[in-house]
Amino acid sequence: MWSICKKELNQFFSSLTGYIAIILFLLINGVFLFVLNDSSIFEFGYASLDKFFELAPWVLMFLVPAITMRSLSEEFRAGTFEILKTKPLSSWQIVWGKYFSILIVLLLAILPTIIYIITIKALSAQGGIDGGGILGSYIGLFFLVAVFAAIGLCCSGFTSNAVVAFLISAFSCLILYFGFNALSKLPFFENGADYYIEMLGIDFHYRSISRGVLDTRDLVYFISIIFIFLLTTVKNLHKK
Amino acid sequence: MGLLNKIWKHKGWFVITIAALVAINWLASMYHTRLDFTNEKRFTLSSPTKKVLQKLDDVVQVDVFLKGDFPSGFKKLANSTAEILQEFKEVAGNKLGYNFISPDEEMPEASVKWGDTLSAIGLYPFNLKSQLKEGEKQQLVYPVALIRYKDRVLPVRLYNGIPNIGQKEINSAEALLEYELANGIYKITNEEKPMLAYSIGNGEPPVGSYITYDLVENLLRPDYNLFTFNLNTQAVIPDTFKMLMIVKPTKPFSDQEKLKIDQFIMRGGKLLLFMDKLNAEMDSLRIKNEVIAYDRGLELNDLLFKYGARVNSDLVMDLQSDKLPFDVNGNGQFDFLTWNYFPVFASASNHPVNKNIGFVSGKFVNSIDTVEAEGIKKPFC
Repeated sequence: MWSICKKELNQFFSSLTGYIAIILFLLINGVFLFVLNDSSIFEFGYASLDKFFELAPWVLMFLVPAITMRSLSEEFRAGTFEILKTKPLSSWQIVWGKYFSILIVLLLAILPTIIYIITIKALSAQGGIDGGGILGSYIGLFFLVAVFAAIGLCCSGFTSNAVVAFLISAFSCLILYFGFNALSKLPFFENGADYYIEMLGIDFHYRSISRGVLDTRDLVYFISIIFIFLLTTVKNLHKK
Repeated sequence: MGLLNKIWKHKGWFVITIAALVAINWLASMYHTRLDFTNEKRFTLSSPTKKVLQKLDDVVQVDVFLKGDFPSGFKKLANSTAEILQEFKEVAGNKLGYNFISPDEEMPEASVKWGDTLSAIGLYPFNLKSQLKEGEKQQLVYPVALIRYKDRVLPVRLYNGIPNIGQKEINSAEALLEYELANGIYKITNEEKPMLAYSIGNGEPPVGSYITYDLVENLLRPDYNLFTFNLNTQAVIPDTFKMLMIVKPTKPFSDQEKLKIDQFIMRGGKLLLFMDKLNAEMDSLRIKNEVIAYDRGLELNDLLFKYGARVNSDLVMDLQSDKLPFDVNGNGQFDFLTWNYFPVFASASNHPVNKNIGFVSGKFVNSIDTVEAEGIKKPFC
């Protein structure tokens, strides 16, 4: 499992993929949060990183599929999956290996944003920022990334075309993050179903954790979603 | 393992897994716990609340009228209420019961709906209108709870905002829920109201005046037995008073008065002192363009110094301040400009006095220094 993870990481960082993904993520966040006036944290007037945690899911929604799109579909296309299959590895090991490599790349992308916390803390008038809220938001962001990565990996396993994998997984992420939330706002579901529909989406649980409370319900939700997508991936690999 | 393998090979494995996960999530929603990361423990019960709940001697029943089909905002409020009451129950044990009642249900032993009764006692509902395909639909929502204890009933409002309830309103309502409910339980279980002395005789506004109306009628009278007390003429402040309030004195305190206050405190009485050291009022600015803040000469320095505090003869200016309408061009065009003498205070501390309170606007405030005093502990520092 770890050999696959290592190989994948090598692949990310020997080509430009890994670097570009990380740099783009930081660049977009940096420009939006600290340079452009409309969305700048400084213009906001409060020492809080809420804006970052609002923006990050939307950036990641396109970034994560871009990282995951090649991981399985490229193997199918190049025929290297046949070689992988003959190795003494179970499907679970292959999937976990790839999944962890993606997670590591994404964590490397998120890690430098700790500088934002230090910046905001240093610039705040009273030196007080909501540390608990930020810790909660980072945990929420980690789970969000983990779910997106699982979706991307799953979608990549269904096709040998990387572009198709990217489009499908970006769309799935959008549906799961924002779709249920938007759906619950339809007048048809008003009074009754809307609450439960909203609960199906990631946004509901992400925001719940962002307040600074880690509830077991949100935890179970995120783990369930990750589990179901990874399971589907494994099942899919079995068929190939 | 055999069963898992069977499921794995089964055609409908996906449906089975989804069903299992839904079941797990449902179970998790029944039995859940949470970790509170916030600095001020915003989502954890405060210790005064716990104390009130632990001291219950008879069953307190809380009826919440948030049951039925609501827009998701009110549903969230209902859920948070249920969560808080569940946490209360974990502390109070079988001394606390709660249930959710739909306002459309009929009251027991009466053919009246709960909703009508609630309106009749002045707990007005929110009238929510939603657009349907044909016409409009109206719905009445009662975000209220009735707390029952022995033969007493006390209504509590759970939400006082705009009907169009959003995440922001939910958060602020949630933050106040604990206080509203705990305060209600505290009030209803207290057999007699504590006695409170309101000091007069040093230029304080009298109890009946319009300046103190809100304080007296909305805050003090409902919870306390309020007595006015003249420090000048009475020989001592009796121990039957739990607390002495001195609200905005303008005349100096004599040595005898200070001795009475000191004796009262030494015997365990509590003192709430609302004072302005300097005379600076907006009234003066209405007449003239400038105001000179001069010392009122209250002669309270030595008393406060003994208790470890010094109120300075200054006015606090701050950039984070309240806004006032100003005539900007002299022709009656008013604009809101920041008025630095009305600083806005915020605190992240978890002290019961300021927990979950929003910004507080101060008007011509003096700074306070704490000084070392023998035998005085200051838990707020």
